[in-house]
Amino acid sequence: MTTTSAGSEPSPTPLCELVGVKKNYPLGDLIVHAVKGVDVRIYAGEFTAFAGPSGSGKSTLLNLVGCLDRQSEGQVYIEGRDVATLSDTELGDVRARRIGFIFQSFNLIPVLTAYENVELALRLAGLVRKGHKERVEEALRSVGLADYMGRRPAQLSGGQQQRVAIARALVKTPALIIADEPTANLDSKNGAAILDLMKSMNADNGTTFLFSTHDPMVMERARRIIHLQDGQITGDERRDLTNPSPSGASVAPHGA
Amino acid sequence: MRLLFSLALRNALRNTRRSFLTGLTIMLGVALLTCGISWTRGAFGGILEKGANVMGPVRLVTPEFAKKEQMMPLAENIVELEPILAAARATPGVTGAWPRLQMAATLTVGDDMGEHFALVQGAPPEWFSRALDLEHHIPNGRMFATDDAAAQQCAGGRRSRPPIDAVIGAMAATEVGAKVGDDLILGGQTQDGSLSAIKVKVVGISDLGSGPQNRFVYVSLATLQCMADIPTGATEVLVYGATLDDAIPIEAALAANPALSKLAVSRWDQRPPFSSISGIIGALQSIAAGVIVFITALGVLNTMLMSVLERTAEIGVMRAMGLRRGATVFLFVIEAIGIAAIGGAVGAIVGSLISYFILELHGINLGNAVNKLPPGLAVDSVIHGDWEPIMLAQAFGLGLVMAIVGGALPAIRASRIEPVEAMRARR
Repeated sequence: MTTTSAGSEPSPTPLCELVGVKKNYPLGDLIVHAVKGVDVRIYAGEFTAFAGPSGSGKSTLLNLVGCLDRQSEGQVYIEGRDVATLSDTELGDVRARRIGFIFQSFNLIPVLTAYENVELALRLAGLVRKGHKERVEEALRSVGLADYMGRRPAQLSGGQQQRVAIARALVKTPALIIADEPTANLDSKNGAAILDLMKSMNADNGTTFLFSTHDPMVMERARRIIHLQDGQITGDERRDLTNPSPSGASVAPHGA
Repeated sequence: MRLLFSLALRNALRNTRRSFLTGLTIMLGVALLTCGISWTRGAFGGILEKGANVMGPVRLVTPEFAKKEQMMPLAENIVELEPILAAARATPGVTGAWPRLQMAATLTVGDDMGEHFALVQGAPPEWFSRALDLEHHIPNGRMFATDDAAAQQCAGGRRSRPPIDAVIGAMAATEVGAKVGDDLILGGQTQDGSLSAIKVKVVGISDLGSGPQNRFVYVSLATLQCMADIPTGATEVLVYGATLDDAIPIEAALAANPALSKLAVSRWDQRPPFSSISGIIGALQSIAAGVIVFITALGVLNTMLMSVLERTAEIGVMRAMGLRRGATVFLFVIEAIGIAAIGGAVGAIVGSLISYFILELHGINLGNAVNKLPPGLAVDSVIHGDWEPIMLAQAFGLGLVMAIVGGALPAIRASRIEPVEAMRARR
């Protein structure tokens, strides 16, 4: 049983849907079963975290949802499209235009300024049109870096770098932002600030966020937590963040 | 595209020490290539031009002589020279045509019957002037004057008087111990194989700056005609135009002339050793250039592979953000070209300066090393380079080739990095 509570009501068509998804990796003579049959739906406007210990399969699931990798079995649908039917080029287009990525290590291009890092995302997505300069500046302003546009990553703090990464993911107004342990390389103060920023973007703009994490700070703020263990979903928790009591949460053992 | 271009060039400056060393490798490769090409052009260009002049840009011989040329068959001579010379000299583009006889002979000075051999060339003094500029390369003594003495000797059978003039190459003179004023006995054969000898007086010792040419003995055509018992003929008629390039139309015209139909016509580059040496020179230059390009490209390859390995996560991120494989290749090739452009430009300038001021103006003295070359190869001991301004652009272009060759593999490797690598990169 699943209960939806806080924030916007999910739309009936999922933004992303995984059906019976398995992912196996060869490791020498062995086959590692990283994901063992997962069914899950992510809806537009959600602020969801895959939570679990190392090796539970949360990053593998993010890779599959982010079209960075292909499943061994099952189906992955993004905005209703079966990614198995998409060519590499089409997958690239989906990644470039519909999905934003935020990484644990920020992964900014060190020789580009904050402005250029954000602009690069627009250019690679083929979204450079008239007024793109204002769009880049607005993205950086929205993460509080209006005064740091000309600085290179090495001249920014870890928190500021992650803000640039958020602006880079946001600037193309994607349907989904995937954040792989975004606070892992930040101190608690910066981590909390970054999460609050993403939370406000979710609340204000309806941007969908999907995290992988085992950071309690992320789980505190997530409205939905999908618990993973050994490549399987062990719980799907939806929470009413307006009600901090334990009764505000409900857990479904499997699926969404 | 502009941002990618800018990104590639900025990446080139990311690890300045590594880029500097790579640029230095390219600089050295380009400079070495420039010097090498300049010097070999000068060396082989000189050999070819001098050799062509000595051998005759175009040559007329009997077909039988052409077949047995290496044996110097005196019997296969052109008996009546005058009509052949007249026809050759009347050919458009011809600036001169002269007969020549050449044979091997023993050299004896005084009573010393040593085992000294030399090639003896007999031709009109005008030929020696045109082909060798001999009269200006006799530091000791003078050029021989006329054919009269030899003609008189043969006609009158007076083999001791008047004396016949000869110029002897400096090395041959040293070997046989001849000085200006000495009598020199040349021992050889007549055209029918009988032994023959003639006494000449050394009137000059020549130094043509070339080992092989300094082993020759130079006499008038009449002297060798007398010695070989070929009263009016010669084995070869050598035909000259204003430049070496004129050899092609002259050869064609001579070959089409009915008056010369019984003779074999050939250009200098169709005869040994030049028929094979041009190809060998080209191949050697290509191999040397290829080796330098390959070694330099390896340096670029190493640098770029390191860059790709270091930036795996970064490339993964860009691939995740939509960077296409082709654009990834572009990014790394442009980076390699950026490094090569600087290294190549400096290398081209340094190589050109060395080529021009050291190799071309001063040359490199090979000393006695050239003495062991075959007689047909007239090589100066001091080899000068041959540099032209266009070589600056060529050298720079080669630097870019090095970059593309060395940068291609890492670029392709980078393009194969999957977007998922972005997620795997964790610090």
